[in-house]
Amino acid sequence: MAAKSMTIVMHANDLDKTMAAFILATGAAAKGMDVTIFFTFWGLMAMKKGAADKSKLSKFSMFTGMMKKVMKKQNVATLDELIKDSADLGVRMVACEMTMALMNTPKESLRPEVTEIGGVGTYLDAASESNITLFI
Amino acid sequence: MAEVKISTVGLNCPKPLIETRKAMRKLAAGDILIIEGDHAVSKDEIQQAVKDTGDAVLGVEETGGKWIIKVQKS
Repeated sequence: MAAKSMTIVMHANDLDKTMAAFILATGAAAKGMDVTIFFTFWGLMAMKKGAADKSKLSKFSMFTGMMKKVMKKQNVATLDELIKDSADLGVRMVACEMTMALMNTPKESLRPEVTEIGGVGTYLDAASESNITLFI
Repeated sequence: MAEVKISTVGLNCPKPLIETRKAMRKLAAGDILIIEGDHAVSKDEIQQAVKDTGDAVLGVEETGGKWIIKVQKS
């Protein structure tokens, strides 16, 4: 497989979904793919500083703590670690400009791994050149 | 020509892949990376990922659930 590209819209803020997005992003980057993640709505809230550790499961959220303990026991990377790894592997992370305005989320409130701000056109330009596009 | 060793023993998906790629990115062409691990699925996935990035798998050894993969950066 020659290097290809993947674009993800991350719309969710739930731990199980954000984990899935970043596992896919790091996996694709490890295979030499160009990866772009566009964070919109709740997905952008997941990228606020300090949010990764507070993220909860989409179902049975009262068991989030228990799930985190099992993940740790199984040596599964934390969401925070996967976000840092994504940046290390060159994953491009774009914040939705409209969500930033709607939810009063200035650039300074976002994690440093989010280095770009863009709109629907930014996503479409990346997605139209991607072999894989996902909405999570 | 440098030779670098990393251990992914005990790590779960997708960390062995991530750590392999992070190490490969730091190497120069011709350098060797030796990856040790025990995550079964990653043994095959690392070899495929290394081929995907255009690098070479030089050899694989497996003993009692632990594996060692030797790769070379192109």
